[in-house]
Amino acid sequence: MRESRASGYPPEMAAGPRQRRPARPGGHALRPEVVAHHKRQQIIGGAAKAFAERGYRQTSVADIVKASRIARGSFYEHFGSKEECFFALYDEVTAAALERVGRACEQSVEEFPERVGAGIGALLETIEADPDVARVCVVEGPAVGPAITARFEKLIGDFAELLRAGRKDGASSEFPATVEETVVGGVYWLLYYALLEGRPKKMSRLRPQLVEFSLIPFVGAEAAGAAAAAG
Amino acid sequence: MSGPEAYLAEFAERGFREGDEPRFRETWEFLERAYFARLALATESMGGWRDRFHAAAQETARLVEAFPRAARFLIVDAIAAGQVGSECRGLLVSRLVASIDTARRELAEPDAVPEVTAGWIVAIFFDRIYRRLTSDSGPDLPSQLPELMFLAISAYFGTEAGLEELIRER
Repeated sequence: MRESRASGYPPEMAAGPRQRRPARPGGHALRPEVVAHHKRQQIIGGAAKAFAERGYRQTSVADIVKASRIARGSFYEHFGSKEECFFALYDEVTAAALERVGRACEQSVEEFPERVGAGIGALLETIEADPDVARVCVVEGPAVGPAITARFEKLIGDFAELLRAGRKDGASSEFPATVEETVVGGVYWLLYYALLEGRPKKMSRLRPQLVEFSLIPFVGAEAAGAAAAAG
Repeated sequence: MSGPEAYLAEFAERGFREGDEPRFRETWEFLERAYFARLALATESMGGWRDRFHAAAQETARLVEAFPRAARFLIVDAIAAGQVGSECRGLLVSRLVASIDTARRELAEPDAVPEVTAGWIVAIFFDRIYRRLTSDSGPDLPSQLPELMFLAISAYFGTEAGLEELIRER
């Protein structure tokens, strides 16, 4: 379901009530979907805090309930389990990151190396904007176990699709078909270790290296180095 | 069954539990020693870095396919083992990075490649092994080696050298 960027609510909810409802004393009646959406987002926000603080395995539903400041029953109205709640957070965060990176690539009017640089820059900015949530998804995601596998594969595949635009350049057509997935996978695990160890403190310091490694197979070391040094 | 072998079987069955730390560490150290001993054997007659790396990568791929339970313990399940898993993996990664980064000695300008090049190579191999072990389908690891070697060699010695490796592997 596509959400309205301005409000964070799906369009049919963001559009407001279709018919007049009786006003409550002290305020307007909110549509039940809006209330439910707000509650769900409140739980996801609380879950992000709890997972960041305790890690996936050590976090219980009680921790999420406490961090969300909701009643336990409310949690189960929205999620069947801790895992389901984690996936809601994971899906939301990864979709937003993918959209932001895709937009940065699209908006860059320059050549492929600069577009890749813009995309990686946007990814690192996203991580820096909320490192705790990034750590929850990147580091704690694989700790969920086999249930994360399909999502992980999709995440790598979606980012690889963005990078695949570079394969239009003739020389790279001789490369293995999965080279983009491998490059994106490498970026993922480099970020994993950086977030796990909390080094570097500013993720944007990784930009030149990530840009260079991502580009070398497609444009050669010299052009990759130049793109890494730019921006 | 020895201590580490018994724990591997148990671990595969029920995952990591609190109180497992000493047995987890013992098993990890046993497997890591065995892995590096195999790498030493596979690379002992090799001269240059590229040949040694090539042999080490082949041996790693072979071991993953031959001993999936041990590989899964080291690469996949340790991620869910909390602090002790992170510590053990961190040490293994540091050891691999130090060993791979000796490639700089063969460069005219050792500082010309990024500081984290060896970390990058570990990351791309880790990714392929992780995904091989977590997805039931997909090509076996030895058949993915040409691509991995291409990316690894390119990172230190440039794309032309990487393409040579791709052709050699094919």
